[in-house]
Amino acid sequence: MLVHVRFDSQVRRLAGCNRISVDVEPSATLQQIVERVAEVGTDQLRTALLDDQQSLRSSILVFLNDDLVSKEQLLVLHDGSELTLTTLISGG
Amino acid sequence: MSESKPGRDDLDGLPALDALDRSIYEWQMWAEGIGETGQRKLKAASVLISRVGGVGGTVALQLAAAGVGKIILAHAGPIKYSDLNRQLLMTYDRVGQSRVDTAKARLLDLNPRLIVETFDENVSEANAQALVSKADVVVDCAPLFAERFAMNRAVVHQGKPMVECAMYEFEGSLTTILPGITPCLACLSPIEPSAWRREFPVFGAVAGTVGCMAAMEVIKLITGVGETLSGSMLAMDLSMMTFARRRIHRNPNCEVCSKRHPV
Repeated sequence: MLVHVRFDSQVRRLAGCNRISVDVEPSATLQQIVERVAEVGTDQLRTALLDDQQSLRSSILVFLNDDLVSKEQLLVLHDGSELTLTTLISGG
Repeated sequence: MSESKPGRDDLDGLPALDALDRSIYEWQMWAEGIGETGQRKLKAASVLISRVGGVGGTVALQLAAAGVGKIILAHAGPIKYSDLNRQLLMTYDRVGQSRVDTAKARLLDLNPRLIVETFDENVSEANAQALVSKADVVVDCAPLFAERFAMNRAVVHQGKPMVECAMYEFEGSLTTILPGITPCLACLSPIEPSAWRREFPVFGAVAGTVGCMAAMEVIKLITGVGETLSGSMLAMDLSMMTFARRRIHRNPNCEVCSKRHPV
């Protein structure tokens, strides 16, 4: 199943692209999807997304079809679902 | 939309409009839902703005133009040349002088009846509670997460609304925090993003766009007109002119807001 992953703000700069698509199982957890993204992304992106224990950082915001999801939440994914990975920004 | 919460009770205690007020604000009082009551609410209101840079300076300018009664500005330090691409309240001839004094002078040029209180300091854990206690509404435009988190704790503690606005490069984000009702800043991110740096790419037009939108959120909060971004976050990318309104949720385990305002 193909899930589209979009990057915003500094995550986009670290990813070096606006979005990628990853092939995942329909039952994939958020952690598994992010690990898959980190596998195919840049080293900088991996560092931004995952901490030393390879867990998704608490500062990463994840939206599924523009709805914020928590790290522990079970995702209901469909072919073509869009995840957005971003962070808060602070420029004033 | 009809005027919000109309009735005599709302008018009680609100400052009256004089002839000059009516002359200045006549055109915006024609806006649906504003009218006499809305303008008097704006005149009665006080707004704290953290930093008067590209975003905050625009917020201050728009609120001064709209007839908000009192603006409190907090921003440390003197104007630098590198401020001038975006900080529209600052001027070339005042480089080296106080940012807040310059901002105050510019705001009073536009609206000499505005009350402006200035603090030549940035928001911190030491001063956030005192600053927030001075205002009805807070606007957070600081470039450092430490300042934003300090302000967030203070507004949650005091139960005051805060417009949270920020930009990065060509992107902007905006939400309105209502403690106990919407996510607070720490619900969204309990720690600073690891990649954030104090110096960031910025165009004045992006900062100004975010500032105008933030000012509109303040005007809606004060007057009750329209619908604020409470419970949602507007994410915009002005390089592509894309806008997304995303739903955000409280964190029931948030260390800042969940104990004082249980989910």
